[in-house]
Amino acid sequence: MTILQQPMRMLCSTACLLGLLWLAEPALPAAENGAADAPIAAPSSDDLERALQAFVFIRQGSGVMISADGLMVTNHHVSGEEREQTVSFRDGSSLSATLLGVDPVGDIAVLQVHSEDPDQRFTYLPLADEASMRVGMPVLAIGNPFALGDRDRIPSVTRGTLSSRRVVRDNYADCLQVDAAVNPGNSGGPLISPQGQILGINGQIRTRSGMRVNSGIGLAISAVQLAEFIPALAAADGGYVHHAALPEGLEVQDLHGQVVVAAVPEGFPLAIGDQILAVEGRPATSAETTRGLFMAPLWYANRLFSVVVADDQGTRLEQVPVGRTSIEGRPWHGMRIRVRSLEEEVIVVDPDSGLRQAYDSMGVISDIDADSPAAKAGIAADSLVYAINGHPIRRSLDIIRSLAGYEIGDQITVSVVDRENGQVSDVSLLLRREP
Amino acid sequence: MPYCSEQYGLYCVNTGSVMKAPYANIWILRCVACWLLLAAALPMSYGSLPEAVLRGVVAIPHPPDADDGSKDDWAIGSSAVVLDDQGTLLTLAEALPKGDGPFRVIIPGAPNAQAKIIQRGSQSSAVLLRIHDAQAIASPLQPLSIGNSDQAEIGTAAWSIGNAFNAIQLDGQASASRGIISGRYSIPEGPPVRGRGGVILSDYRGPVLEVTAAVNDGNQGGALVDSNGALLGLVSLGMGRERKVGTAIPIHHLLADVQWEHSTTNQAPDIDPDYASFTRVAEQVAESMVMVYFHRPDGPGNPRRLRAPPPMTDDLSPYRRQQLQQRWDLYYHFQQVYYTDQPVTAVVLDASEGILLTALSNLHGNAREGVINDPRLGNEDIPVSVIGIDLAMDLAMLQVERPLPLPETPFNWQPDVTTGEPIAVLGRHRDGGDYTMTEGIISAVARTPPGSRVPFLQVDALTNYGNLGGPVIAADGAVIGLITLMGPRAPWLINSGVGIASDSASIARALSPMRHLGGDLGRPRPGLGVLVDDDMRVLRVVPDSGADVAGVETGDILLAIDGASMDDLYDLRGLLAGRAIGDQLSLRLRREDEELDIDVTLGELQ
Repeated sequence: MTILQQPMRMLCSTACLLGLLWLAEPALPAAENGAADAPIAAPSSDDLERALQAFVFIRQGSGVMISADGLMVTNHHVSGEEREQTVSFRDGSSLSATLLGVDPVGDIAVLQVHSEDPDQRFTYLPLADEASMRVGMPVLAIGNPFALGDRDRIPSVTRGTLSSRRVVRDNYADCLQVDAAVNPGNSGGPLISPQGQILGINGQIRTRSGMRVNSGIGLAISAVQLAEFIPALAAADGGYVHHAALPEGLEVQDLHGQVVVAAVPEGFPLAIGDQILAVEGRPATSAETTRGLFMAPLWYANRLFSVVVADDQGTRLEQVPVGRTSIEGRPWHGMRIRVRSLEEEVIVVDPDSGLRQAYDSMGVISDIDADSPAAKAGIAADSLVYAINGHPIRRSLDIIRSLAGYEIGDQITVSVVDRENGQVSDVSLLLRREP
Repeated sequence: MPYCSEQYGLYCVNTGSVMKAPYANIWILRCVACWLLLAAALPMSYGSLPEAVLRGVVAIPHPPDADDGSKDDWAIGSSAVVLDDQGTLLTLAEALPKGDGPFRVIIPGAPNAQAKIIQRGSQSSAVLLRIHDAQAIASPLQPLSIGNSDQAEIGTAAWSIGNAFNAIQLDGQASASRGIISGRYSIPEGPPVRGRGGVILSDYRGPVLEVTAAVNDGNQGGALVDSNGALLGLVSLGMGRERKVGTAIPIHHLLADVQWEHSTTNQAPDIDPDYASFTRVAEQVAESMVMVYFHRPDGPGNPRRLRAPPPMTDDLSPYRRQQLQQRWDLYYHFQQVYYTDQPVTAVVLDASEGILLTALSNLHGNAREGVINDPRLGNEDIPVSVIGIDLAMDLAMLQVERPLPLPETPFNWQPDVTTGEPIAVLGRHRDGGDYTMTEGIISAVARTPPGSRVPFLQVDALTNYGNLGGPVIAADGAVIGLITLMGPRAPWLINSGVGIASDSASIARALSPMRHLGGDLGRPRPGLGVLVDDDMRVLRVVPDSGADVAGVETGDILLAIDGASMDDLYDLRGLLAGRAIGDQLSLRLRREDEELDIDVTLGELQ
């Protein structure tokens, strides 16, 4: 037996298959969501109505508005990385949206929805704070299961209980576990409290052997994580944000119910055999949890985590530099560069020294992929590449060296020579995941 | 420190495990650190459930399945419940790893322990274990009290607590899910429940409590508790083949088998307060359900047409087992929905005239005749026939040859239905026993599923084949719809928490045409004019039909209509639904190695 993990992406084929017969029948008017006696653990009809209005249909999946000026959030595995997209709402309207930033590891994407009316205020849902997340509380999942709403634009509401929180499951480093019905197509949709606040974004389900649908274990990315990532995603200009991670070389393992350091990089304030008690104020209950505690927060340069460690001398608090998660896939700039001899010499003005020098061979861009980062940055085919990331390109090997260590989501600088006057200009572009 | 250990039970209990002599001096420091660091953290409470109950369940890790052949190097464990503070545990034989132990046990917040088998049940698979590490016993084991499983009625609030997908091993905290007891029956003789790779998960047969709380791999041997945290049963991975809803083995059944002396309250466990009003009326509404056995003389509905895959044996390679398992899963699926010899649910519409209503999907194939056989009607076969169908609503009306001394279904023909409103879905288990009731809310009103043009209700109660044609009830007991549209090709599968129901206001409009005119029965339907086999290969072209005129030939393989691909006859029917005789469509077909697009005009289906 192994864990079966299903991202809830809808496949086109499943949406359109239905083996029953229907004949044309006049449609009945849609029933209105009027007031009714609410069940004990259900939201007031106003809160639910607001949540349904803030719900977004996107790519056979789900999303939710999180600000009045048009920010929406969904799963990365729903949005993909296409910059311009179309989203729809319960009232049947469709609007264009621009991808602002993605977090492929944490599976979040933030988009800006555009309205033709500049004064339009969107209905949105606020993020819940952690204090309101009680295990055992009733929760509602709003979504587009099996893409049922793609035609009628009616979101689906399913009810359940918050089963667990602060759960670490693979790349979901801080998630909520729920037993509400969550199915393929619910991905990216909100998990809300009865008060209509976003507790998390539904993204994965675990299914029992032999079953492919909801079996009462849904995983939602916690609002705590969302609150930290959304500002960074909104400011990412279509690029990536990164998660922090266990620093390279630091290994922890479970030993008799304790989390113990098994390996440390040189110069680290921890020692092999130290017991880790807490990371950033949260208890380290297992090695897996510890990995998740390092991974849940946002990465930024020179970030330090407070770690409580114990050895036989006592307990101490250490500041530990964090590592960074890498995004799976091959980095892609979209240029094919060859170093080759030039038909006629080119005079280049060295940008540092100002000296002019003649070159008879140099990096030449033979081809540029359409819609690639290089194409979007305005680099043209047949351009001469003087340097990449400050590393001069004189031999074929220089191309590989100049990009060594650069990952998806990193900025690279390409220094291009103007053939007319020999001036070198720098162009920055973002390394993306190869499609 | 007491504040600390109460407030942050899990954390401090965990550090408590290092309270050995050399470590004792840092205990206070540690708790201060914990208090400072976790000042923002929350106390653990569990809704209506006492938090301590979570610590009444321990994990039994399973070693990785060496010959699994998968990349995952770990297996999903199981669970056991704590019976006393001496370290006695109760679990199920099928929940234990291979061998006679001792077995490793993970107690949340305590050092790992070993437990030995002290007794095996003879009538059931109950197994008593005892932890033999003194230190672990000294840890805060939290014995569960014994609830009254004999009086656990349908509608009783129930929580499943356990090591679901290794929750205890990963988080140091049991996973808990809330639901109700939705049925009481016995799992009959039949094939065992198998998991991935064909591994037998449970071959339990006997009495069970069916529960709507989540039951998953890892929960086996874990607790089913009532709202006071008292044990009602041990979670089993056994399932009624046609229900496929989680079950638990009643605690009295297990404890009697191992002669474990215990005190039990005489009081029945609490009914879920959200569904108390449903529980009061459900039994009465359920009286209006009858089971219909359809004759399935031809077509895919005849079970004889379904061939079983080769038997699954343990000497097969993991890869082969995996493949075979998929075929068996499909076989069972088809057996239940397509090629079934099992009775289906219908409701009494007019008792004096003998009129029943069910879902058209229940007629798969072209069943038109059947019998009802009900203990309340003297256990004799009483013929029924289909007198009307409604394709759009997925409804069929049945006529019984005599008046029925049964209550009529209390339909509310003008229901005021609201998204988020609580509902319950009624059904029956094939082997009798009580009715079943799964609880949920209205997920959407006026849902128009793919291919449909009429509005349906969507509910999140677990629905399966035993519910198809069964009633959806509101809190006052009025029936507001019938479960429909559960075809083999519907993308929402059974028990997905996505159930579709025809609402009673729409049903009301369809009744008169069905009763007096037969509805869509016998109405000309559009067709291409071809006879195809299971692979969509054309066996015969009807002369002068649309297909014949357009040039379709015997041996062509039909691929798609207007760009939508089709794999079998059911896809084809779905693609023709909603079209009229005389409509023109683009048919893609393969002739030898060539793909052709031709325009076909629909004629009358012969």
